[in-house]
Amino acid sequence: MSGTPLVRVKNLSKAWSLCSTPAQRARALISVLLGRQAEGSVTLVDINLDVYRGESLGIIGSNGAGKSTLLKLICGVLHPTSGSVELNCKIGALIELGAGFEAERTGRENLYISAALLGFESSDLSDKIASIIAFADIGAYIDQPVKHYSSGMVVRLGFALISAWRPEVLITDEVLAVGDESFQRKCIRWIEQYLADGGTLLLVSHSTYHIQKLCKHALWLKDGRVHAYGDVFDVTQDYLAFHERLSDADSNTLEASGSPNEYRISSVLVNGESEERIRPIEKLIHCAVCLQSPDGRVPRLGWGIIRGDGTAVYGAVSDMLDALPRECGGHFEYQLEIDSSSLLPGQYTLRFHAMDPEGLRMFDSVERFLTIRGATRELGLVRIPHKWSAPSGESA
Amino acid sequence: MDELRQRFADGVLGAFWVLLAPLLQLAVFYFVFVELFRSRAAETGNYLVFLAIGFWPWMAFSETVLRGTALFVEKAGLTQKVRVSKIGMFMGVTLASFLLHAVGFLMVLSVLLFSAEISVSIQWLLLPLIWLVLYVFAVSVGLFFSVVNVFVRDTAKVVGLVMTLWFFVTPIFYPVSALPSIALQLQAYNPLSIVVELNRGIVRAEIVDVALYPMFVVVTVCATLAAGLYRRVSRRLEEFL
Repeated sequence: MSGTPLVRVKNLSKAWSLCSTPAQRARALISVLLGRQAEGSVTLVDINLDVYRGESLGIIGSNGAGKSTLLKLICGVLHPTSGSVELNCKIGALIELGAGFEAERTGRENLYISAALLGFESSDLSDKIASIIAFADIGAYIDQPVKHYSSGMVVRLGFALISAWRPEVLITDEVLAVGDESFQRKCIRWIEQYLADGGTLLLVSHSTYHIQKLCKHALWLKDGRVHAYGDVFDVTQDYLAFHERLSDADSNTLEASGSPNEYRISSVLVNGESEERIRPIEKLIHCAVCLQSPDGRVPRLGWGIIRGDGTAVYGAVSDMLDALPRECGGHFEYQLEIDSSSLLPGQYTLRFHAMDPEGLRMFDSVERFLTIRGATRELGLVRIPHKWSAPSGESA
Repeated sequence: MDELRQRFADGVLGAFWVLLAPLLQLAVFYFVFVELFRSRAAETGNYLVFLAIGFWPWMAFSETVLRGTALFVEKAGLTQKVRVSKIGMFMGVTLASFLLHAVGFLMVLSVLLFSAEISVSIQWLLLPLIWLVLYVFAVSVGLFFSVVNVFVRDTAKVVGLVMTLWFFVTPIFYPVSALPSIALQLQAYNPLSIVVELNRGIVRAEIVDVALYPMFVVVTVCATLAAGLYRRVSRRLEEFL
């Protein structure tokens, strides 16, 4: 992580001219000739990025966020509208399916052509080609025209080619997803070995699993801007939570009815703060919730933790443990301490409900958002205490 | 060279086809014009020689321009996935296309030599020069329209029509003297006409009375225009592919 970066992206922006009719296209030619900037959609805005030797960076983002455009700019297939890309290395890119194979030629012919384009030494060419064909493992199809290949086979061949070339920086755009399970595993093993040998990786994928497995850092592109850039677990977890909330927002809109005749929440303090977003200070979360009662009877407090996508994780009501509030001037203040240590990293909502004295009906609700961070590949919602035991005795 | 191989690798006859195609074409000309129509004109001399020597430069030019015009759009799939020099690819493909017909021309020359229709002379050393001018002109026109074709997709079709028209206004099938005088003067600015005339003159060891200077002006202007257009637009071509 020192010295000159292999790839340096500076203030990179890319705008596309959007033109659909022939007349617009003709006008576009004139405006390009006059040196006017594209006025259409802006795909990337002011991206800054340094990639050092040995780094592995995952790029995530919604469809249309500009991920592929960024990779294409980096590997020189596209030219930036402004800003610059500096390359200090040879780059191997697998962008989209096909990787520039010619459909009419056989896989073998395409390998020879691509090998020539990539500048393989001709001395060990036939050995290389043989190892590529072995890696791709597509059987007799290697001598069939590429147009007869399934999309998975094309990717196999493309990946095998790049793996033999061993670029200093490997760029792949959502290619792992196409291969079958065993080929994915083969690719991942290869990439891991490549990274262990000091290779550098830029990976675009919608599979946060792959990103977490292969990358140390992640970049979240949102509407053409860098939304988050940092440790892979932090960024991917925020990203997943963002999508969980998106799908939740569709299905579940919270009704917050609040007539004065009902039990209501008048204030919520979490760790002494009233902000919507909880700043994680430590594993224990201190909550102070004030409830209003229309009739002077003691209301109950319900609380729960919901994951970003709406899955209920846990919930409880104060009457279950006969917890009692402190009363002061018509308000009832509950003090609550929640241990968040068993929650797996992700985005959560902490929800409080004002309930009637019987603890049966829910009235008001207030939400606070909580992000749990951490580097783990555990799956699920909560950490279940468990223990691995060493095998007893010597195994043969 | 990749292009050259590609064009013939798929055919059954392979490399043999490169040699055969021009000879078949020549045979067709012989049959149609010599045996069938008995075309003979005082100004043309041996009509088969006259036609063949004028026809191949035209074919080289026309094919190179048409191939070039379609190229950027045709190869969009490649240039958008792999980092290749677009202009390098253009030059390679057009050169291959041009060389193919240059080889065809050599084949035709050897057949005509063999049948003692023509004989070698010292002037033949000028032939590469003429063909070089032809190549520069073809690549310039092709590059210009290839860029325009990216923006206005009908360009390739229009160029196809224009080439047909151009073929008939260029004295290939007929001697330049058959033209009305106004058209004759305009021919000075048609590089193809000059190239065809020079090609004929050199091969048949005749003295050709043409002004070279308008041809060089036209070719230079075209090359400059094409290079300027490409340089101006190349960085943004992908947006329109």
